[in-house]
Amino acid sequence: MDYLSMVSEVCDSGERYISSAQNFIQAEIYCAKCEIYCRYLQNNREKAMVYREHFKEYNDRVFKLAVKILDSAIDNADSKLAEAALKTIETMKNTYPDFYKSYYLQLFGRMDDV
Amino acid sequence: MKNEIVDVDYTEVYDNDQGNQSDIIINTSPEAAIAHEFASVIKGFSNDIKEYKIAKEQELTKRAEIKANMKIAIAQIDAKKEMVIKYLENQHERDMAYISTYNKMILDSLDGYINSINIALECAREENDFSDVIMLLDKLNEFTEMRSKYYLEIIDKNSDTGISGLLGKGSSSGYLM
Repeated sequence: MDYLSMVSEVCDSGERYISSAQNFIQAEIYCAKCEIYCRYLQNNREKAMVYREHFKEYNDRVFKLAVKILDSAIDNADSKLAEAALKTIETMKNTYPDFYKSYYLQLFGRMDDV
Repeated sequence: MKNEIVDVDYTEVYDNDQGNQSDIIINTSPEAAIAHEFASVIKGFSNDIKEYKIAKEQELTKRAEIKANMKIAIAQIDAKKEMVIKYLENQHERDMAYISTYNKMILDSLDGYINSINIALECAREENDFSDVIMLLDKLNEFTEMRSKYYLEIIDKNSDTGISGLLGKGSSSGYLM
């Protein structure tokens, strides 16, 4: 190895050192972004669980009430009351699609351009 | 006798390069030539080593500088990351508190409706008139629809944390670098 190629090698290794340092910093940024994004998804998941629990509890209570009224309607042979109880269940069921759409978006929604 | 005049064009040359005159070495013997060549090789080699050391020192200084800059950059990234995570945590706690309060409010209202309907149902059984119960059920249905609508708005509102801007929408590193 002659002198010039030796100096050239030293300088090239310097360039490679800069390049590897830049790559290392980019890798650190990527890891940090991943950590933040994981936390973001974890938070979203917790929120989605709370939404779902609440929705379930609300609907359970309404459903129990509607069933109780339906029983009363059958006992008293009141068709209007039975219709009203069924309408309550129907109204409750109508809220399902929109809620679950938002719920799954919250649970599995991902950001673009990240 | 004829005088011959020689006409000559001349210009004056000022030699300013007096200092760069190299020594003219005349070797008087082959041994002296060999000794001289050997000495010049040694001298050249010594110069090369000096230059190599200088280059090496420069490279080492540059590397130390790069390493120091890298450490600073990594510390900055870590600090910003912690800041973003803290921001997310605070926002999440705030959102959860808001959601819990809202959920409790809705369930309290629902309990109010249910109690009213139960009382109306007991009265209606005695009188065999369920019109009040039906009216209250209609009110409950309206409440269910209203709750659903506002709840969806709350979910949409809490979904946007502004995180995409922090994580680099439009740039590779975003807020972190």
